[in-house]
Amino acid sequence: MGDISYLLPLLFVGVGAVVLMLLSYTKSLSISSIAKIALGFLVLAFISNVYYFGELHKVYPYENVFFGMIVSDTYSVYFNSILLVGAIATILIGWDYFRPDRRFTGEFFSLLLFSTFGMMLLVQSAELLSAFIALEIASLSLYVMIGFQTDNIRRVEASYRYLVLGSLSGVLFLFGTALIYASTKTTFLGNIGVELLPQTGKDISLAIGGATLILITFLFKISAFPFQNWTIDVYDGSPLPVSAYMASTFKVAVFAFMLRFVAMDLGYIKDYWDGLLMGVIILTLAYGTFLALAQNNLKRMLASSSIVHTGYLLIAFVSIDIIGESASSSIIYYLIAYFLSAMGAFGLISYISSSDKLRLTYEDFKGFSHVRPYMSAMLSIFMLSLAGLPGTIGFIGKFYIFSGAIEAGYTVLATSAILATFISIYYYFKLIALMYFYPSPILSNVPPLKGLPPIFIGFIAIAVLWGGIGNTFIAFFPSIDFLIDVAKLSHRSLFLQ
Amino acid sequence: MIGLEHYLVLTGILFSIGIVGVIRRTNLLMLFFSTEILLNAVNIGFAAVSKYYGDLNGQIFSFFIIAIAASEVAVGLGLLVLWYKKEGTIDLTSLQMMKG
Amino acid sequence: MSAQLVLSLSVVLILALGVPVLFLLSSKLGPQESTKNSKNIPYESGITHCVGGCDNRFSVKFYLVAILFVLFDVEIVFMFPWAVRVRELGYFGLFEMFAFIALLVLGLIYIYRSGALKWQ
Repeated sequence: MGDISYLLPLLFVGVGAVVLMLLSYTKSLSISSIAKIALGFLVLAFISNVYYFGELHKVYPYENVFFGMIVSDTYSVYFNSILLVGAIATILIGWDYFRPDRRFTGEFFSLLLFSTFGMMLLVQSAELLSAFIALEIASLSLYVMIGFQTDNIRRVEASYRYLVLGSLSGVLFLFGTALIYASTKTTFLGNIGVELLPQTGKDISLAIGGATLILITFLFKISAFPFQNWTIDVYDGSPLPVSAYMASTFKVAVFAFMLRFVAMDLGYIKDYWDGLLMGVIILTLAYGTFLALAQNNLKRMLASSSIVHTGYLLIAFVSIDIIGESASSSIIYYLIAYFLSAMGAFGLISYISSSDKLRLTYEDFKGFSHVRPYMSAMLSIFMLSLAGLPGTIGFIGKFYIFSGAIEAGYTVLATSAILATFISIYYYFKLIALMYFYPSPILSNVPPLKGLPPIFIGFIAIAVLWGGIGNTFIAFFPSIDFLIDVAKLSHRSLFLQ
Repeated sequence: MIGLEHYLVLTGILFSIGIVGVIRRTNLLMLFFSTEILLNAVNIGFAAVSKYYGDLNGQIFSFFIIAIAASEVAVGLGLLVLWYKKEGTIDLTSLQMMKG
Repeated sequence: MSAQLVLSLSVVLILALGVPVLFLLSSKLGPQESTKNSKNIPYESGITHCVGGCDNRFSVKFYLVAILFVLFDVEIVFMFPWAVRVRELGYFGLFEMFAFIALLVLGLIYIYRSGALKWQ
């Protein structure tokens, strides 16, 4: 099919965003029909993306037009699938949430597609400046999406905080790019690494500085320790489906880019970061756990526990140069595990909050299982998976990361991560205990479950269990082994010529 | 003779002015000025390095940065109007944030 | 890479990261900033009495138009380099520029449909 087939996913999402933008003021179209159109474009993109899933390749499409700034490889296809599923899931779980009385308009879906486009471009960019532009497309759309819900009084604050801090971190990224450009005369991933090789005899101290500034941006976007303060307030102030979208997909996209950058170029520089990153990880785990323990609102608890999960991911990130492929695939696998569990949990509470008018504090969930047995069973599955109990996808993800860390010799990190996991069981199980072991005081006659979201959340819950149990029961059924194999293949595709 | 290092020092000075502005200013409009200063500091750096190497890419980068800065400011100003309509002031102290 | 470049760039790094730290320290040591200083008034340069009063209200329409202007006027930076080299770039450049302008026009259509250009 030629080069166009590698760009089709991006094209579908980009064109879809523009089309939705133009349609958003058509009076005859209701919100749900606009959501259907958005869903259609995303599904088309997903189908065209899956075509190359798991196939080892690395192509620079239309090299005479894009000059090798956009790449399509097994790695980008893998991450694009996660991002597209994330966007589709956001629309599906928010199906009842995006209502006109919350002032959601058609533009919201256009922005959603634009930010998905930005994230996909970020995953596919093979050059630092195009990565910055992609990052800005994704973030600018998110700034507006966060502030979209007019009935939330804290939305402007959340949006503003994210905007100011986000643009500051974006500038640090740019400054880092400028320093790398100054010391290597190139901004192409792959070429930078060649310029930084010790054999060239160059002084790479400036490139180290630049790469560190880019690392700071990365740490900010994934909300690691010194840059985590925005997370809880921003997640709290944004509409629930948007929190779900941010927590799952944006982190995946930023991780994907940083993993590519570090694996391809910064092999030598990463050694200088080891001490720094170890400190960051331990503090991220400790502070995130502390924050999660302190919250009594479910949404804020999920936001702060996402900081802890960032810590787990960074552990695999540190061990990447020692155990290479398996660390990279364990990051990718954990990203999927976290993606599914967080999407499920956020989606479920967004459904609950739109149908049951709960304030989402722990108290509100007392005796929840007596009113909504199906929902509380699924919420328990997601909590178990986030806590990493055996039988769920979260367990397998954590298992790979911890064993990788021990293999790479980072016993301290593995120990503190296991400690954080033990403590996390407290705040995840608190919710399960409240739901099952208390009588239900406030909720009596709730409306029956209806619409798409419960079915879709059920699918996510099944996926979480399926990923944890794997093909132990159903032989010859594609399972985690398949995902891990493709993750390894994706890592290999980074180094193809 | 003005060489590369002069431009780079200018970049550094502007960048620090911008960062101090972002950290210290409490007026939201001034905060945006500061981010603009930051972006333009990087622009000067890109243009100077590009001239030094005789490689045009750096100058093209600064065009893209200008465009991105404009879009960032547009979103920011939109929010600013929203904030002013709600609070009647554009002072950060009414926002009680940024320091956390 | 020359030692001169390394030196100057290290200066940049130190300036960019060191000076703010110094500033922050100085704010801790020095006098505390009062909230009622002239830095927070609309005209910082010391104009305290405006002709006709400072708190005249402007319609929010002005801001909207100004924001739209900022967005669209900046795009000219991409057209200038193209215009300088229009003959060398040939049809490829022409096509790229038309694609770019088409995207801008789509944005304009959206703005028109959203009613942001109506002066009511």
